[in-house]
Amino acid sequence: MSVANCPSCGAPIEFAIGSSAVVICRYCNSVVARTDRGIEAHGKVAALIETGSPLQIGTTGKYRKTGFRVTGRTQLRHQAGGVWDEWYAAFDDGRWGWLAEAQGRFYLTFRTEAAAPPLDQLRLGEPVETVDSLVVAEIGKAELASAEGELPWRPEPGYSYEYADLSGSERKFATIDYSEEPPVVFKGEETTLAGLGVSGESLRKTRVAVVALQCPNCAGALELKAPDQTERVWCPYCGSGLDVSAGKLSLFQLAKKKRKDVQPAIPLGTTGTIDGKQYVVAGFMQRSVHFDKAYYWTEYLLYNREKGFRWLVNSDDHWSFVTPLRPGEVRDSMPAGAAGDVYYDGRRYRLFQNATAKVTYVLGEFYWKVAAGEQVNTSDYIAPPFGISKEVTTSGASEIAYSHARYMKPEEVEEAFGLKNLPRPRTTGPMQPFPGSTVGVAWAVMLLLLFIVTFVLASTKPNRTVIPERMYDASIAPDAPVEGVPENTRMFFTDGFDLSGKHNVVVEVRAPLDNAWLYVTGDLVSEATGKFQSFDFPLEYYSGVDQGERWSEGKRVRRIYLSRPEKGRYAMRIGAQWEAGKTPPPLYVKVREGVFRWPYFILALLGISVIPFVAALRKVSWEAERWKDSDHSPFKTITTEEDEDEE
Amino acid sequence: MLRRIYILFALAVIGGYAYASHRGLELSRTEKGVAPASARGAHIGSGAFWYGGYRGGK
Repeated sequence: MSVANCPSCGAPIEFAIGSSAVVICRYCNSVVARTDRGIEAHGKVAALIETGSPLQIGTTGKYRKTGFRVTGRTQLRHQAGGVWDEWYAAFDDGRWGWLAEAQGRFYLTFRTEAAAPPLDQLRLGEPVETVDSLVVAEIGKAELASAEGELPWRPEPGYSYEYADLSGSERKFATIDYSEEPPVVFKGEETTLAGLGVSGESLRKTRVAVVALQCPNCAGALELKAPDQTERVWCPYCGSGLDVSAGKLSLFQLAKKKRKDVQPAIPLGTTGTIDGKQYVVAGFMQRSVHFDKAYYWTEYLLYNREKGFRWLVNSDDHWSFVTPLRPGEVRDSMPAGAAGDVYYDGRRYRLFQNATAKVTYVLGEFYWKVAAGEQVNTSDYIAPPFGISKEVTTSGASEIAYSHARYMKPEEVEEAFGLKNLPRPRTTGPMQPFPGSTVGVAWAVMLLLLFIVTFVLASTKPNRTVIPERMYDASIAPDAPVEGVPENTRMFFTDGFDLSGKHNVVVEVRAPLDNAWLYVTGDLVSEATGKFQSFDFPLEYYSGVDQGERWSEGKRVRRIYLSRPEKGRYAMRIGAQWEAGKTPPPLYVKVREGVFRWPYFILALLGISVIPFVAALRKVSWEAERWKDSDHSPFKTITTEEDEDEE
Repeated sequence: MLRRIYILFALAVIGGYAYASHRGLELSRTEKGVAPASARGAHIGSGAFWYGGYRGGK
């Protein structure tokens, strides 16, 4: 440790870390550097801005078994207007760690020797191969706002530099600092205070839950729900835009005519519990996209001290709870555009809509300097009941932001926020889950069961021939004609045969007909009891040539299936009648038992498929309704230019 | 709910199908009767009873 006096004000200063380059005088804010020539002052930095950070100079922790101590910080101003802290941690092993803090998140990085591409070659959302293929989440310019403590580099007041933030899966994070040539890559991860192993005693205890202020325009009482994060407040009483700086409000935009047609359904300041966490409604905005006309929706900014910011989105009375994602967590083949699909957490999300969204109305407090008219390019993807939203900002700092949405029924929102009578949706929402049941899996299981049953049945049927095919000649007249029986009829009896009484019986009758008919009757007769089952059917076959084309109709063979008869000895009576005056054809008869019946399999298949089919029709109809407002609907009919001309 | 109803219904269909197929039952109804004792065993030749079984031609 070396102790000296500030060259500017004479106050004692202390270099506690051997590798530190400067100390910011805590009394006069001078940047005091130690050089070969001794101690020198290099201008002054502005006073620190209260950011509500829990860290402070002297905070100690242990990261991956290595102890560290926070020795200094810089405050950097974002192009969008906000300020974030970058803390410098001296590790016990001699390394410096950079601990960035923004919106309650911590990013610990270390300087590496990795190569970085030139700034102009970076593309939002695209991976940087030399930096572990992390994707570019933001490209911007930071301006030094203030500093304190002991730093490993010498900050110049007003100094600014370009940077790119990179994000990956498993909380990986990197920053490329373009202030040096070649640019420097800092790699690390997003972490938490617990992950940093900081003890409660070394943390600052200045965070306040709510700050009460007064609107400088209308004197309305304003309560900031996230005072250490809020950048801008839109007064809910007069509609004035107020910038928040160091806990004070300054008028950014005077009140415009208050919109009475757009009022939050959940009043600002209302608290509600979602997923077991309590959120307070901090802000409200209306946004719109324009296609054939403007389509509006509203968003509620929710804040929880531990979880940070979330959104509750209301579009056509459909609600969704939205959580920010790290860009590296989403697999997107076209980050700057709108790919057909993106993937997150093993789920595929289909593109529903891409447009330019515009802020049309704002109320309450926000963590960025939002104003009506702000525009971003949005791409919305769905995998009901979830969705992914991508927003690409190109004005000021270039940034790509992904968020994950979960559909909420109005009843859930009512219960979460203690509300009543929220309007119910009258249309199908993009993320709304299908309210009916789908029985696809159950159908597949039943289908499998049906096949197994069928296989067992078919393989156990004996298909036994009881009477091999025998010919009966109807042209032979009976020895003793029966009185009253026409000449063109004959009757035959088969020999006796045994039936097992376990299976069905099939009778097959065949006649070589040619432009003729035969009417067949039959009885399966039990010799023991005289019980019989009767059947009858026509056999006919006609053919010819009509205008050079050959035609035929009818059948020469028919089978009749009889239900299982009792076990015993049987005979088959076959009767035949043919066209009077013609010679009857011979009749061939065959009898089998235990024949598997495929038509019954088809019937059973249809039986188990009716309900799934109806359910599938309902689902398809629901999906078509869901996609009707999408330009990327899989149900959209392709319209050709000719069709349009016809119209 | 629908899934449960469907599973019960489908099991009933498959059960009915398996039962009917295993027992050799046919959906088509055939006329049944009992031949008089005099007509039994008259396999060869003719008998008015059996001729009475005709139901006409085309």
